Amino acid sequence: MASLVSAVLLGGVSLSALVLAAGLVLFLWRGPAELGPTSAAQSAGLPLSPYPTTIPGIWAGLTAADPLAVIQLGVLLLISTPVLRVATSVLLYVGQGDRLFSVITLVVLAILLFGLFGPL
Amino acid sequence: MMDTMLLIFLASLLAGLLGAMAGLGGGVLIVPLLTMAFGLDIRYAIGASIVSVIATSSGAAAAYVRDRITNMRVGMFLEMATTTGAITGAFLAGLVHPKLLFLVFGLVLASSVAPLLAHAREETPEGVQDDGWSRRLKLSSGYYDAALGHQVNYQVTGVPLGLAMMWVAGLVSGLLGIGSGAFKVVAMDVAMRLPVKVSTTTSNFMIGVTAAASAGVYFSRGDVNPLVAAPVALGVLIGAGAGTRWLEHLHSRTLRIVFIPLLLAIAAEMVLRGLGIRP
Repeated sequence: MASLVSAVLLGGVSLSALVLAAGLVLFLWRGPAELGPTSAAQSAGLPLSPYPTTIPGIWAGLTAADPLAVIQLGVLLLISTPVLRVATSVLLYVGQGDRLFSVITLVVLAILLFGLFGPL
Repeated sequence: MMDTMLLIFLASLLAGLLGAMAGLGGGVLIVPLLTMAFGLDIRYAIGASIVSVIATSSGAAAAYVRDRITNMRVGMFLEMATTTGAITGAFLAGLVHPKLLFLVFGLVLASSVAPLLAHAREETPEGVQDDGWSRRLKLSSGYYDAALGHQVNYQVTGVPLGLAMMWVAGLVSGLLGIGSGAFKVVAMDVAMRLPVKVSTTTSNFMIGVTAAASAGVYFSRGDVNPLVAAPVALGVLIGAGAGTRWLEHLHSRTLRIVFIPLLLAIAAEMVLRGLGIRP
């Protein structure tokens, strides 16, 4: 159990770091000019260009090779890594027939999904 | 703008390095850095910070889980409280005045100095008996302590109090975008009387899941700006990785003498901003 949980964590972090780096390289290579209209809001000299915050939005951006969508995919993969770790433990506890901990880990999974997709 | 991003990357690398060497985790310096050195809105700073917390804690947790010191049953049970607290904190952060966030952050940062000053704790508490919760949840466990050279078996007590303290730890984490590992360790040390090695590694195990709960809220609210979050996450990840490796070669005492005044100065600056004394 420990080794599978460990592998999920390490794999998730490595993959998201690669996607984040790829998005940054793409952004630096293509330059900010191709980003499209920049919103009026400025912060620390960084334009708060429109960036996707939903899965359909990220998907649409990826098909248009938008560097910001690639970075957001990396961020989403990073946030999903602990979620996937919890989902893995649900399956492992169910497999072990440990009902109490299957329920406990399911509750944690539900809270995490509420945070990501809930109305807050 | 690209210069700013490169500077953010390098500064995050340094913050991750220092944070890991002081044993505070990479994230605690990110929010002060982004707000005070780069003038970023504190909500974007918190959004970037919480994402970087997931990166560093998941990397470290992977190693600790493999070492089999982490008590995963304790961790997963307490995560019900930390994630609920984290979502509450992230929700509140969207409502309160930014000045209040500065004030609370400064106070929490100042209090995080306390464990650095404290003397070494009891390595393995004696005479702890499982409480009813611990028996029902089968929380007691054991691990092989390489430094002591023998197996350490332990029981767990004070579960309801530990659960309540974990909710608060989650709230602080979600509100301020930090791992709040110190709070988690205190809850497991003081309330549940776990051995030091178990509470520190189990705390790390929970930090990623706790941070993911509030990061989801920040992400869908649009408070995770990719041009800030990407250089911060990569910088802290690389810096903390190097810091953890160098930790073994450095005297932590000299490091603390340098680090404690720095932390207190940053904390004071943030409190002053929170009170509106500094712009």
